[in-house]
Amino acid sequence: MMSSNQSDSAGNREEKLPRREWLLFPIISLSTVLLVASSAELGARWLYPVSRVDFDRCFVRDDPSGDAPARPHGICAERTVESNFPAEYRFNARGDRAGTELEPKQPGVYRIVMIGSSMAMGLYVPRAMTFAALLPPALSSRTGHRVELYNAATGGKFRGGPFPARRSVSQFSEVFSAQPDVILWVITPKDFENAAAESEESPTPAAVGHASAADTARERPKNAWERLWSLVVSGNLGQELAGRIKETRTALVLNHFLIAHESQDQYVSSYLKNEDDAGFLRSKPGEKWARNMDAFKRYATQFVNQAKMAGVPLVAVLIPNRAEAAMISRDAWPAGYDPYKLGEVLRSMIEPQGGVYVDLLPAFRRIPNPERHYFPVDGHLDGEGHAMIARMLEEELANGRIPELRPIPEPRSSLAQGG
Amino acid sequence: MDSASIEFILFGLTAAAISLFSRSYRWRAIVTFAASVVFLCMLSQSAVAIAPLAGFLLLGYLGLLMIERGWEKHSVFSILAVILAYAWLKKYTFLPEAFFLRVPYFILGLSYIFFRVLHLLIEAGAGNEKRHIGIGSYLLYTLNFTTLVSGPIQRYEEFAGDQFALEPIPLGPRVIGLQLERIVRGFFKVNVLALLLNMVHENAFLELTQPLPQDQKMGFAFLLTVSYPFFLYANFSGYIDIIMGMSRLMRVRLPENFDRPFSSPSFLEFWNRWHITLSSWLKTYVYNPLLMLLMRRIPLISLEVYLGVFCYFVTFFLIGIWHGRTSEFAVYGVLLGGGAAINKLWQSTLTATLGRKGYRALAANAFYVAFSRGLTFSWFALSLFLFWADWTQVGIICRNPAPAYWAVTWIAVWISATVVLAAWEHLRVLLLSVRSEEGPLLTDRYVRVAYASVLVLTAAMVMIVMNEPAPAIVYKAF
Repeated sequence: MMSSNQSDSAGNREEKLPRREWLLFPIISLSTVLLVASSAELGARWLYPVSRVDFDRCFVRDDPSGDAPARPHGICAERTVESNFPAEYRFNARGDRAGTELEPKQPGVYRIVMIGSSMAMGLYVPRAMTFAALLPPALSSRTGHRVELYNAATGGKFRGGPFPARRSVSQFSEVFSAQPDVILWVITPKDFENAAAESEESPTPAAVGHASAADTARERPKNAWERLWSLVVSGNLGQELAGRIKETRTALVLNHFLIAHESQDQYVSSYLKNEDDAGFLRSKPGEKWARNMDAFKRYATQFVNQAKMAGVPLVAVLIPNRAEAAMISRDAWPAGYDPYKLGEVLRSMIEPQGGVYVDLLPAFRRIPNPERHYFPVDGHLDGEGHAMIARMLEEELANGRIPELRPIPEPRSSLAQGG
Repeated sequence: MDSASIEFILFGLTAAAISLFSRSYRWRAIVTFAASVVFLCMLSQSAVAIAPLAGFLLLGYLGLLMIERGWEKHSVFSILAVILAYAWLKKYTFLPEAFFLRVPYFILGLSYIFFRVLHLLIEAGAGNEKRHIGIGSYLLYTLNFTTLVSGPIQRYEEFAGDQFALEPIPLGPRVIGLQLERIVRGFFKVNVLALLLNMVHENAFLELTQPLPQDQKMGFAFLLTVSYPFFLYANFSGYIDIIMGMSRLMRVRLPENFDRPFSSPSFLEFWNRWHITLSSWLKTYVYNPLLMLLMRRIPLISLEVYLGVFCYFVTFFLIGIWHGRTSEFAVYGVLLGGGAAINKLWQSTLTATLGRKGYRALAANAFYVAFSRGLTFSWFALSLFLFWADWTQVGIICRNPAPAYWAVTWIAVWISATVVLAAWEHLRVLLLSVRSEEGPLLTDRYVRVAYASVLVLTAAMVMIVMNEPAPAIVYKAF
């Protein structure tokens, strides 16, 4: 449309640019960029609204721990760019998203107490659609037992604190007060990172406080110009700008659509380029992931031992992340990677201590494009994803790994009637 | 440093800025040569790996010297030696495998160097150009960093006319602005459009391998067919835009390689607008001499048309096999040659049937043009399967969807291309009809600034979000 052939026909003499053009061109360029960027951002915000209703009623934002534990009886709602509808978070008296208050267990009831992080809590998904809600009726119907599930999972860093964390061990006894017949620990690759993140913090709060104060005094720029200058000097300006751009709604919507429309192959190959996130998928995890695994193992050992001492079986399951699920479903991955590796690592942490590891990963081989059941950018399971995990858990928990959940044989008379 | 990356553009702009320190042709030649050597070293990363390419260049130069010293009659041997050396270095399968070098070596851009060297030898051998080309000029012409990787294939006299001009071609603010806009446009094409179209294409192919109903597969087959021509156009023409802008900033004009190819109303016309420098090179050095030779040998007027058809087939077949040494490219050449030959035959038959006036009237008919344009696109898109896919992938494509569904898909591609490309032509005319005092509003300098700013913003956004490099320039591999 705009041919540059004209360039030479017009450039037969080295004409001078009028002075006003030197001013006009940057103004036009800048105002176009501002206009287009702001229109795109406004359009994205209008078409893809994000809402948080009454979050202060749900979470303690100024908790000294730095996390945001759920408030007992808190009710709030949240809708993200990627979710189609708002998810209500309704917490009971214990601050759990259990759908009910914790009540004494009725005779004949088999109670699963689920622990874990945001994936298990059902972040961004209405409770009725979470696997925590879908699993008990499915298991009850399949096994003939009266199965109930008490969801004691926390909700990630800003939804009740990461899990596992140091205080998770000291507070593990709270799990037993829920009278579990079995503890179901739902684990994600992110939990390994969370475990290590807390382990790497300085052990004494005083030392942390001291260091931060010194750092603050030395490094924090006083105003916007100083901050800008410090970014230029440190060579982090590009990174900072890219980070800011990524936080815009336009970038989020664009990213969502681009990732959502990538094929499995494209998604996996682009995900694996990010060595930092994808390190756990390596056949031989790097230094960082080896540290993550060590940190996680310490928690796992303590949880399994505490459960063993309390005489409650602990069942651990790994829910793969989006890329891991895609790799397993494709049943092909580049040399040097192994999407089953983390599962095997987890098994080696749980089973020697006396816990049970239920392997959901092979089930992903049978599902075409399972990554489509995750929010593309955020990475949590969507409603379909929760239903998918509920079906897998139902299958695996009822297959005899947990003797108490073996299906009750149907009475002879009914068999005869049926036959 | 990939050939359409920000690093490459900064490298080119730096070289251009340095070359502007002086108007002297010597200075500009030194800067271009130094930049080309640096570029070559960055790409090859080993002096040993570059030795075969150096040998090839030396062979070409020796041939040239021989012809200059009065050995014109033996120029055919120089030409044959260069062709053989090229086939040997490119490992064409008709040569015994035992002869090939076993060590890895650098041949990036060899195909384009080959055309330039052949051009020099043929012209010198034909006695058309009596001139001495020094080794410096020869290396500058063959290894110029702007045209090294993927062309365009420039004639020596055009190159030398600008590069060694005592009074360099003007470079005012307007030209600089236009070139910067062109570089931005090229960058956008390669790093945004080609990236997204490649995603669509790869996704469509992978979906064809999934167990889906035939009608769904038909949709993906449609996407697979239409996405690749646009991807290839964005990828290659975007790169050409970048290097043309860069080269112009260094006061050297490169020949255009694309001229809105999808607007072409016939397959023959398409090749006057797509990879123009390659097709015109082959027209000059293959089609014309071959046709003249055949007409001399078979002087029958009734066969003249068929000789032309045959020469078209040969020329386009050569275009096909130039792209690669595998059998897929041979079939690609047959499809291109077949398309060109049938097109020529159709034109001749219609002219004979309707008369010249009748044919001209038909060729001016808007519906005829639109359908021909759609057919041209769909034939090219179909041929390209053999361009990007190997036989295993072609097998998958042939089976998915079933052949009957493929027939429907191809008709759908034809009709869609007819409608969409005609609509685009009308829109373009409409947009260009909005004029200011200085010409069409869309080509106004202020509009160009705004347009380029939007492209930069969009490219930055997509690159930050995607965080992955765009596909490499496809023609780099040839």
